[in-house]
Amino acid sequence: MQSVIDFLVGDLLVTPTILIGILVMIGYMLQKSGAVKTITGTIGAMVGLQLIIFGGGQFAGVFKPITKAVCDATGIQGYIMDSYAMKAASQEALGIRFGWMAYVFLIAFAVNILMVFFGKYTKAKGVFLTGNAGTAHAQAMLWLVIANFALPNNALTVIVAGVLTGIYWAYSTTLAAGVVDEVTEGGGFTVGHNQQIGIWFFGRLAPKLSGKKKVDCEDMKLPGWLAIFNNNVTSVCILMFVFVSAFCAPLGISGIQKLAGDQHWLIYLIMVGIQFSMYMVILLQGVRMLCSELTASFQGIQQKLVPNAIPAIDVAALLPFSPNAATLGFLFCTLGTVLSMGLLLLFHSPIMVLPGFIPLFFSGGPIGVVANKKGGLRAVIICCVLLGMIQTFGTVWAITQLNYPEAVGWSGMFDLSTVWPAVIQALRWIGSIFGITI
Amino acid sequence: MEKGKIHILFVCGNGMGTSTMAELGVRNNLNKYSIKAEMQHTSLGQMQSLRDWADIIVILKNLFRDVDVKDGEYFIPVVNIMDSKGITAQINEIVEAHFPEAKG
Repeated sequence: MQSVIDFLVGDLLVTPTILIGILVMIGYMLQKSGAVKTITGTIGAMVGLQLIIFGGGQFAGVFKPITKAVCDATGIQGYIMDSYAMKAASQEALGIRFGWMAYVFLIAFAVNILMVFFGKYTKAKGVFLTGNAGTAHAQAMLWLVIANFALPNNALTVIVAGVLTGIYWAYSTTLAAGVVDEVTEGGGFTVGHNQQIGIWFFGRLAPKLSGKKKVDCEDMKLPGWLAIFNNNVTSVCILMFVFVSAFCAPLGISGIQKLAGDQHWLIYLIMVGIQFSMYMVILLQGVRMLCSELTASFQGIQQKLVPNAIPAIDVAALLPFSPNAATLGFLFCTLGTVLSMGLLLLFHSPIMVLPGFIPLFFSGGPIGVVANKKGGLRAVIICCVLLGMIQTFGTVWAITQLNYPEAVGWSGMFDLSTVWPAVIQALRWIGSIFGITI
Repeated sequence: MEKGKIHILFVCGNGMGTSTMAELGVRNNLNKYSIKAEMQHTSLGQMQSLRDWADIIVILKNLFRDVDVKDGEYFIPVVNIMDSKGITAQINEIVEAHFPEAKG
C-alpha cells in the first residue's frame, strides 16, 4: 500500500504533464463529455503540453550558446523579449514544479469570476478568456512569487500567485473595456492578453498627440511588401535573423564561425532564424492542442455564472479595425525598441534584450490601432515609439526580479514590463517588513 | 467537403486566441441554419497547409489584403470576430449557393 502511495505522490503527481492531464480529464468528466471525448481531449492536451515543453526547451537551446559566447566576449548578458521566451524560461526555472501552474490558473480564473460576480463592490467587469496568454501568466507569476518570496508552504505560494493573476485579469480587462469599445464601435468585448493596461494608457495619451490635423492611417497607402510581417512564420525568422546577427556582431566573423562549427557562419545565422521560427510553430501547435478546449470551457463557465460580464479576448481581435495602423504600430514599436537597445549599449548596460515577434506585433499593432482611432498618424508614431522604449527598459527591470540569470528571456509585453514588475517590487517592500523577501 | 460536412478554417495572426473565439462563436450559431461543419483554426503563416482542406476560410480583415484567392476558394474577411451571428450568416450564404449538401 505504501508503495502505491509513494508512486502516486512521488512519481505520478509530480510529473507536470500527468498532473495537468488528470486535471483536464476531471474537467471533461465534470462536463459529462462522454468517454471518447474525455480520452481524446485528455491525451491531446497532454501531447500539447509535451510539445510546449519540448519547443520551449529547444527555443532556449538555440539561443544559449550565442548568449554565452557574447557574454564571454563582452560581459553583456543577452535575453529575448517574447512571450514564448517567458514560457520557456519559467517552465525551465520551475522544473518539477511546473505542473502547479494548473492550480494557479484555476485559482486565477475563480478569483476573476468571483470579482465580477461581486462587481457591485469590486467594479470588475471583464472575464479573461484567452487560454494561451492565461497559462503563460500562471507559470510566470508562479515563478516570480517563488523567486521573490519565501512563503511558509507551497500551497500558499500557489494561492498567492493565483490570486495576484486573477486580480490582474479582472482589473486590467475592465480598465481596457472603454477604449476597446470605442475603437471597435461597440464590438462587445474587451482585451484579455498582455497589454490591456497599455491599451488604456495609450488610449488616454493618444488624443493629446493628434497635432493640428489628424491624419487617419487608413487613408494612407502603405507599400505592399510590409504585409510579409503579418505572416508569423516569416516574421519570426526575419526578426530573429536580424537581431541575433546584430547581437553577435561584437564576436566578429571569426567568433561567429566558432559558434557555427562546421557550418559557414552566414548559413549558421540564417539557420538560427529558421530554427526559432520552427520551434515557435511547435510551441504554437502545442498551445493550440492544450488551450482551445480551455477557452471553450472558460467561455461556457463565464456565460453560465456571469452572463453580463464583458468577455476579454485575444488582442489580435483589434487589428482588423485598422489594418494600416496595425502595420505602422508594428514598425514604430520596432523603431522604439531598436532605439532603446542603442541606449542600453550606450550606457554599458550589463543586460541586452532582443525583441521577438510577439511584443512588436501584438503590442505595437493594437496600440497603433488605438492611437490611430484616438489621435491619428502623429499619435501612432509617438505612442508606438514610446511603447517600444517602455517595453524594452521594463523588460530589463523585470529580468532583474527573476533571480534566474540563465533564463532565455522574458515577455516584453507592455503589462508584463510595467505593472507586473511594479507590483512585484511593491510586494517585495511589504514582504521585507515580514522578512520573507528573498 | 466530405460526408456532407463543410470544412471551415479560421485564420488569425498566431492561430490562437482570436481564431478560437471566432470558431466558438460560429459553432454556437451553426445549428440555427442546420449546417454540418468541421472546423479548425490556424495562423496566417500556417494557413497554406490547410488551404486544400478548407471549403470556407474566415480570416481577419487585416490579414486578407495580400492573400491571392484561387478559383473555388471562399474567403470571409472579418472585422469584428465577436460578431458570430454576422459571420455565420455569411457562411450560410456561401453554403446555400455552393455547398447545399452540407445542409442537413
